[in-house]
Amino acid sequence: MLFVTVSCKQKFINSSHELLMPVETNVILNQLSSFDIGVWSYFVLEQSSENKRFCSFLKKDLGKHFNKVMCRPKINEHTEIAEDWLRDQFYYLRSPTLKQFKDRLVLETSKITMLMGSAGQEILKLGRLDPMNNKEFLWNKINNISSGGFQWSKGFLTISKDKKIIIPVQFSYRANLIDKTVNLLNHTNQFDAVLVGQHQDFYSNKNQVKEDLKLVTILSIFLSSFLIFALIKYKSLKALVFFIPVIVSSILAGALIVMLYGSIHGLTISFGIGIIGLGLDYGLHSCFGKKDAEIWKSNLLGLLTTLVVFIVFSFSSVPLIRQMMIFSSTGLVISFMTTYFFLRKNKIKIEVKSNAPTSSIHKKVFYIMISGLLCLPFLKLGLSPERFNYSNDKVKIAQGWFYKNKEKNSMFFKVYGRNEMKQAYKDIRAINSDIHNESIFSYIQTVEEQKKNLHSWELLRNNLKGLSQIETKLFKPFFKNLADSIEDKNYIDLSQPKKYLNHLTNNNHFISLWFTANKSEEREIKKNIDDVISLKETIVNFSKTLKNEIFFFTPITLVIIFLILLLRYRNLSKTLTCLIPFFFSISLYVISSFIFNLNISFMSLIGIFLVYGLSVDYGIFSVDGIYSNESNQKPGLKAALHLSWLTSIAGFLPLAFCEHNILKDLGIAISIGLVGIYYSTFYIIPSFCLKKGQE
Amino acid sequence: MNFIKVFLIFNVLLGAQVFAASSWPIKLNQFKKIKTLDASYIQLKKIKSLDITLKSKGRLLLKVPNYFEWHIFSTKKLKYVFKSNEIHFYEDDVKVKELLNGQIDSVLLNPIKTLRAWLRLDKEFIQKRYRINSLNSNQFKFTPNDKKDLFHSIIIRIGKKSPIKEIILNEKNGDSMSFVFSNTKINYEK
Repeated sequence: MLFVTVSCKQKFINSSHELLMPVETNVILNQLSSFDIGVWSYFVLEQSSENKRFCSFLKKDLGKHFNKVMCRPKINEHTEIAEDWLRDQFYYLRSPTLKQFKDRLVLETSKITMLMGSAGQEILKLGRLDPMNNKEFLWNKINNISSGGFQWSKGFLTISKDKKIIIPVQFSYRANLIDKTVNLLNHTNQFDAVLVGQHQDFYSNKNQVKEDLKLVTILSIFLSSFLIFALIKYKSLKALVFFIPVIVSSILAGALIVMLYGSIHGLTISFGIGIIGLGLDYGLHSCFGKKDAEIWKSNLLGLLTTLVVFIVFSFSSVPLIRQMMIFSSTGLVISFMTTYFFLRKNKIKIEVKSNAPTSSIHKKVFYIMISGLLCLPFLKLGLSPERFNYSNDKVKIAQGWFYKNKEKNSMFFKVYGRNEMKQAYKDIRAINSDIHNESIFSYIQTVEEQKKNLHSWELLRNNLKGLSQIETKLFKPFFKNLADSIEDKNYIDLSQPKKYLNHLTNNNHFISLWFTANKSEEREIKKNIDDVISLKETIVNFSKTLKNEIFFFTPITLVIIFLILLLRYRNLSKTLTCLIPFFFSISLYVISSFIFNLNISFMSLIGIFLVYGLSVDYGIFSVDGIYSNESNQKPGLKAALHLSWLTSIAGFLPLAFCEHNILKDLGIAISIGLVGIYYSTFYIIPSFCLKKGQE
Repeated sequence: MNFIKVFLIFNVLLGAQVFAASSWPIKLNQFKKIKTLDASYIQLKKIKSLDITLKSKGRLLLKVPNYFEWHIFSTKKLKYVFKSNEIHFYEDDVKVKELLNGQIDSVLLNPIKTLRAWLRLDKEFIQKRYRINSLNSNQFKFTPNDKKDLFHSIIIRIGKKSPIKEIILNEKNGDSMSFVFSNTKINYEK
């Protein structure tokens, strides 16, 4: 693993979440995060005298990292957006009556008499554009969008019962630019503040994988030393030569993946190397055995049955699984062929005692396997993508608090092309106005409406007489905008960049969002808007798709493997015996998961696939060895299988000690599976196949 | 000899200036600490950049420590109520908006805090921040010690029975705001 990690340049290794989800799910999530409104992050911090300094530090010293920082809002914070909005107000709002307008002028003039200081100047600047005080609408919108259901207090968002505060921020760069986030967090570390959101997730995950790989390296070195010590003890150091095909095949398979995908995912490396390591098993099997023809027949059968699993699962909708399967099957075939053509003549003679255990206890353990398999339907799979996410304890506490207190509503959204304004308008109108929504139509209106609105202002202007000199001077910018709008008749659509629509538009699309508070609102949205997407359902659907694939593909692979084995042995008993390591290791994992309350995540399932591939090979080697006519085959076979098993456990056990769920779940599943393989290969199968005293 | 005279005069003047800056005018000492104040006003607001002067009438109501009402008699009765860090807006006695604690930066409330301090002639607040000059027996000019202060200078004229008859707040950008008070009702602390 380390070899390939080092040999591949860092730029070819991908650790993004994108490959973990089906393409359709990724498209949806990427669509959402391509709009500013979809990418809020939050700083959570304890209330203290440092809060004001932190807010100012974010805005001034770290300002380049953010588009928006929502704390201690300044009066000029959104001036540019407001000016843009007020310039276009004549298109969006119907004019008041002449009397209302005149009254309003007097009223707003009176308000201006209160203004003092530099903040007063800022208010005056906007006030001169806005005698109808329409900017209030915009302030409310901006505050509501970012508040997440929290309340403002002393310039910060908080909840009354707690002493924590929240600062919503909108980053100026994508979350995958981790170096920038590292730089940011290095600066914010001096405060008792925790970042919650996509940028934190990307940083935490990469950081923890790095830490875990350090641990894995140390443990792997220790276990490899133990392995080499065992090889020396059994005078089998020559067996190390069989690592060469594994290394060569890993590099070639890695190169193929980089050619196909542009990069290789870190998880593919973790999974694939283990599987390619099966090639080592073929080599060891060959070098410790004597009768080449029989051994390579077993190896070929092992290869075919393993390839069945990979080929079937390469039809998965999850790109990562597809990548893993292509990497593993290519690497395994190369490893197999390299060993066969170049190393099969290398032989090691070994003398080990080979008393086969035939105790009836091992037969009884077989019944545990049956009970474990019967428990399979009751297994609870936790396939939520959250399991891919790592957070340290401090972040976990902040996240827990944040999501517990954040506004609980379901979000639906739909993305439109820029020429689909009519459809978008129809969708917005189709929904009960009680359901909160955020769309471009929260700000702008159809061209027909805009025409009517502008016309009403035109009439107002034509009838406007008797304004005082002060009012004319004071609201000169307003009257100029009005005159320009009437003259230009430049009705607003998405072809013109508007600052107040930036959060809802990207290069080619715009987005509408609905926030539902209950099931009946959810039903209404789904019923009335075609192709609307629920963020919650997108995540749930991912889990469902994965479950469906597993429950569909696993029986297919089992049937094909069963048929291949039956064709080879023409004996039902031998065929079923070959599958004992698979069934036993699965049942051991099921029982362990109930006893130790293990999380069965996406990565656990990946681990089980790997065990699947390995276990059938062990079954085949074991059955072939036991029924072999050559009695002197058996000590060599036993040594080969032991050594193979040791190399596998040395590779995967360290992962079980990692902190990151992805690596830990993978390590635990494979380690338990390997224990099952070991016990079933060396104890259960012999006790079924051999009579007492028979070797 | 002439040089000595000039030197002595300079010193006397300088001494007087220092004295003036650090002492509280005796005339103002006659007023006790204000507990509540209720006064009608006529206001002139000069906006230099637009070359206009806005005139308005209204009423100010102050209650120590943190309550302040600013009424403007306009086409509608406007009322702004400042309570601690909250602002409530009324039009014709109907609340149209409220900015609760912290919805706006407390810096924005500084002008109101300053005005409140001046209306009750908060000796501690004023002495700490301003140098005081007597313009005549009833008129005093206050110049901020801090260059970042909101105002360039503040001039007050005291009344016969009330601490402030008129206040002129001169801003750094040339704008100014003046209030002339009438019908002032005051409760002093006992």
